Amino acid sequence: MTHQRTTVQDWMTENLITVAPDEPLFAAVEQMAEQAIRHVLVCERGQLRGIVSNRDIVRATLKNSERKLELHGVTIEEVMTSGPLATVQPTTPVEEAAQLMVSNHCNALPVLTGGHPVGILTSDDLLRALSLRASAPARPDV
Amino acid sequence: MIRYQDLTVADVMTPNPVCLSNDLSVTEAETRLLEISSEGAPVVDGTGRFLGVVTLARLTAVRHAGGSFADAIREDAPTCLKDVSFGQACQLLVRARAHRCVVLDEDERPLGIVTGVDAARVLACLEDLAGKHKQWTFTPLSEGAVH
Repeated sequence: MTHQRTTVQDWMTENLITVAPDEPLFAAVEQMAEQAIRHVLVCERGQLRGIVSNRDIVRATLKNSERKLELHGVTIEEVMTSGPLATVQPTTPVEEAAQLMVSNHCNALPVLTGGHPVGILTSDDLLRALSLRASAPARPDV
Repeated sequence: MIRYQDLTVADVMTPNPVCLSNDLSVTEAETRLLEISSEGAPVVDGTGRFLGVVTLARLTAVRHAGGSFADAIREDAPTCLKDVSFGQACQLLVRARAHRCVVLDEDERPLGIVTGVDAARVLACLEDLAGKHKQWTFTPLSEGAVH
């Protein structure tokens, strides 16, 4: 193997923005708008409970479009993706994380250490990884 | 064997992307994007010419600000030609802080689209290449595949 191997911790976002499952969905909407992000991890007592994306928010908005305040009364728990989520560790090779994203049809992977969320890796982070490789000198079989 | 450095946008892009017409409402655009499981899409005029990109995030912001579909269109969205290297397209996206690069023909009509999902697919193939020493097996997505 000759190409540059990096791990998830080289590319993940460590300053995690999280919300609690019982918070109003607007809390996630505000976080996404303020931080210009597309996914927010849902945590409770330091444990990952789910993930909420802007797709979940739009779906909820359209479902509730008859209400005057469109997302009024909707909690994060009602719309988040929960259950067994695909996750990675900081030491996972970034190519392996990419395979996981492709096979799970997702754009973001929570990064866990000892079961606790420590970061998030998104497809935008993979763009940055490839962007850097494009700047690197060509190697024979990479 | 194809090297990563030799990959062009044409090798990787999703061809013939679903485009949104510029006369949609915010709700119609949101519904359409959810239908095609996409977070964003190119917007075209009546002649098919590229006008910009609209995303779920921009639609959400416009909805809550009481704006129109036109307000949600990012007119300076990154675009490129199909023979640009995939690495250059990645750099373009990173610099523009954008999630999708629309590939245009000479008449400014969308030919394809490149997103972070494609970066994941390329990196996943690099893992195959490194781990199993096999030939490049990158398979372009079929037409209309979702992003």
